[in-house]
Amino acid sequence: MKSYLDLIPISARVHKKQSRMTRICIILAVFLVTAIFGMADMEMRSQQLQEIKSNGNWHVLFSDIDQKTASMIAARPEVTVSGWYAYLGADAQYTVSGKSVMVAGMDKKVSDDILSMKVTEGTYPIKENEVALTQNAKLGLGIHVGDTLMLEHPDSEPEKLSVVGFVEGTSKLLKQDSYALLLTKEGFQSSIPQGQYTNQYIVQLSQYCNMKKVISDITERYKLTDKQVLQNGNLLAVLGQSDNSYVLGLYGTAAVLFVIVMLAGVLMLASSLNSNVMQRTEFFGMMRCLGATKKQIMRFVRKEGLQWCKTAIPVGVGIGTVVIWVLCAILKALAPGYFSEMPTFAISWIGILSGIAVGIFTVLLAVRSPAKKAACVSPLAAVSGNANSVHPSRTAANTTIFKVDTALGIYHATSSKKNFLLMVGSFSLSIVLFLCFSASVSFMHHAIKPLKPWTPDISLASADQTCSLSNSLIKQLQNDPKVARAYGRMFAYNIPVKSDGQNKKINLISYEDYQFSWAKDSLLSGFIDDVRQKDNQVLVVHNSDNSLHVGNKIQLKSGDKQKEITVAGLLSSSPFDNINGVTTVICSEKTFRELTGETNYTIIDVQLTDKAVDSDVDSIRSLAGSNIQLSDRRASNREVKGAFYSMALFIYGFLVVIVLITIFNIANSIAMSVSARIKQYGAMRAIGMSGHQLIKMITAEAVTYSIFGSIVGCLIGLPLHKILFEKMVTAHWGDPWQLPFGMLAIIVAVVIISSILAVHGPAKRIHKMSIVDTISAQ
Amino acid sequence: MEILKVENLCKTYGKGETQVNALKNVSFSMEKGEFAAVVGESGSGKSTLLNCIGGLDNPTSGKVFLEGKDLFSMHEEERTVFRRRNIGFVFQSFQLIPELTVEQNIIFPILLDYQKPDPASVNEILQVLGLTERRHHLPSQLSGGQQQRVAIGRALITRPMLILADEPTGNLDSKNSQDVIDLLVKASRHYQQTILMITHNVGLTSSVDRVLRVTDGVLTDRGGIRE
Repeated sequence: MKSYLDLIPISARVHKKQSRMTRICIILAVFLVTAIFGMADMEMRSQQLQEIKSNGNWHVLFSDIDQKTASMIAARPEVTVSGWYAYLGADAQYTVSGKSVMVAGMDKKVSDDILSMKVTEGTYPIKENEVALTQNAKLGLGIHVGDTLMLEHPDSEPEKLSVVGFVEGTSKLLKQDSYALLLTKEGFQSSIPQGQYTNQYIVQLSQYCNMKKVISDITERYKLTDKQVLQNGNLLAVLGQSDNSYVLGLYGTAAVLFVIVMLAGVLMLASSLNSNVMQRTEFFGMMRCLGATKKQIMRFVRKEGLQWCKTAIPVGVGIGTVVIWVLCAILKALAPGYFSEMPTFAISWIGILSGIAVGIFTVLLAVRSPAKKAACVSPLAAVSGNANSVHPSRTAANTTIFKVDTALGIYHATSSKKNFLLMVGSFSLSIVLFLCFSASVSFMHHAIKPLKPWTPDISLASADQTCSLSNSLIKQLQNDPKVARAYGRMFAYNIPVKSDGQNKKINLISYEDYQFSWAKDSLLSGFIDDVRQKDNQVLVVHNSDNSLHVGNKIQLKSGDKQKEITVAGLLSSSPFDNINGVTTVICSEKTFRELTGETNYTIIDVQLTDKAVDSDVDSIRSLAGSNIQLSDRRASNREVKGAFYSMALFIYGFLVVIVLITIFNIANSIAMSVSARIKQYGAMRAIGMSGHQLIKMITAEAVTYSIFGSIVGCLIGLPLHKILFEKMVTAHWGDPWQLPFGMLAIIVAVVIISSILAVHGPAKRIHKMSIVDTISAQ
Repeated sequence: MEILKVENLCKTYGKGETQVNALKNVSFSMEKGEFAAVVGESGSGKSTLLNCIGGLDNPTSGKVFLEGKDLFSMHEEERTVFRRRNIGFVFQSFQLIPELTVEQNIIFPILLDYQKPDPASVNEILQVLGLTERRHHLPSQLSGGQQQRVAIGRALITRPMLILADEPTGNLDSKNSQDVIDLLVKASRHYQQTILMITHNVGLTSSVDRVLRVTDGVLTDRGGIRE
């Protein structure tokens, strides 16, 4: 031994059990922070991926700027990639073979590095008269590589372009059944008359610069107007570079959660270190007796804390990282296509660094009070053997209301104010943390709608919204082995009706068996089967301005006759948009046909089997014919599914981590508390306290902490939940805050049940120890 | 009337070379109302003997009978309740519950039995012990001698068959030590309590009925001292 501090590892070996518990606490705190920040990092990365995939990896777009300004912008050190880009939407009236198309022109680096367009066949256009089309145009327009097409516009001469390749279509294009033509910048400028488009300069900035500052600097320097500058708000938001008040609100929420996570860590460690030092007051007293100064004792305790960090921090960071890997693997398994670019074994430096920082910072902060306490142990108390009773009880336990074992348990919990506050604080913090994070569950359900069972992969729709899709088509589709389900709907729009003497307008929609069964989940009142089986019975979709209820009659004109239908059920929602002043009314196909005289469908939805590939969609397109609009929703469904899974995993992962931490923390706190009183328990057992009574006593102590913890947790957690809910949900969607009964019940039950179960471990340990050993235990 | 009977009690710690025979075939018995002292050197096995008789520690072999009941044939929970009702303990370091008052500490074994203590007998004990004025005080507000008197009160309250006192005067000065011994003698005479007390202070054995000596785990009966 070269220094008195070399005693630390020796002392740790002797007090192995106590050291292990404190180490577990540090591991838990570090794990909590690493996992939460790693998961947040992972979520941000997946959001960035999603944003880049759907809108491109650009941050700002400048319209109508000259070449000189563009060169100056490109020369800025913060600009990583930039180039010209021009675009005309379907409303620009350009057509190919009579079909409306979109036209885009851009530099190759823009297509490669910013919009990441994947060439699926052939090459990207290089010459002025070359064009690449989106893959869906291949079959839709019947074009192949090497063909020539004519780009037509009512006001200009047709342009002859030669097809050199096909690129992957975006989910938006596929969903809208639109085709896009991609030309070089020069090709675009020569094919499209000037004045029909605006030249845009698209810019990708370095992730490490202050994007907002750079954009405003460019705007100011080149005297650009607000109209000339378009920011990619969504991408800036997920990169943390947005100044949008809603996004800033979300960051504020994240900051509040960060502080709570930190507090949870500090409290958990503080209570652990506090009881660790309390148990060794005699040891510190002895050191003071042998000549150690108060400063030396404080240094000893601090160094001891850091010594624990040496092993506990890497373990906590390791577990946190592995948990993130597991979550990444789950995401990849759930939505393989969508998360293919996300590495499974990614290292989240943010997670790791915050884990390490919080670990060290928390230990140093948490060790302050026990270090002071240890330094204050009187040498006299240590030598007289009374060190453990340095703070004797000031009041007696109340044995008149409760039985003696319960009374002692409650007294043990409440006798030391500081310990009680720390324990209640750490118990309540779990509840606060859980309630705060649970607000984000509502946010998730509002922000990202999961795929509904009725979501189709392909929608075939009549171009003019009439009932023009034949019955035979649906039968042919149903016979296709790659089609899991095919179901149609007939639409009749804006039908004038009368109900209760009032004139109204309805949209009448027909359902078949699948759609009726999916509608059951949103049935508010009435019976769906009545509508399915009986004639002239309908379902009405709830709408704020609709006053129709179950039992109401609706009169409408069918041909020359006046007919009456009855509302047999009320639905809370439907897959169709609500239109003000128009009520959505759903009926069976038979009723629809009787009322309207129409026999064919307006829309046929198709759900494909897992084995279906692109060529199967192509064959459906051929089957449907060219007059029918085919909306391929597979890519957008994958995006929705991916986004929902990633956010759900992130948020529910958080909640699970909080619940696990709560359980560990409670188990650890109770074990610590029992260890601190083990000698006293020995005396009680010697006098005649049975094992059952001992359990009752410790349970009473644990339940006292958990009840007070739950009360304080609710008092702080519910207002915070309200604030966060209002910031995240009410501010955006207008939903009023409601008491989160379900979440509250879950976490309070977890706290109380964990407290009761946490008693059994230490009680078993005491039971196994002989009474003689317990009395003499230090 | 025979209250305590110890038969061939052995207690061995460790194995092989580190094996220590703390008690070697100890056998003796005690009559009702008898006050016996166990003396011996430090580490001779006195406390081990007391712990085994009180059921706090399990002997390696041998039997302990209290009023004919074999202590170690009972299930642990049953033995705990039996100990609570029939054996009183007085420890060297008092082992009072710091969060209970003098009165609560004394009636603690009765409270553990979920019974209501008889106020008259509590008052009597408090009076005998000279603690009536201090009944609502906490242990931390008492002197060492007073704390040990509370411990004696707690041992007496259930009128147990046997009181085991492990160096009850070990932490006290001579005046308080004599007071404690006087109290134990009084209990033995007044309540006809059987008391087995460990002490290394031979001077204190003058008041007892019988002295037992333990040397290296072997017990020898030194017979009666007091006439």
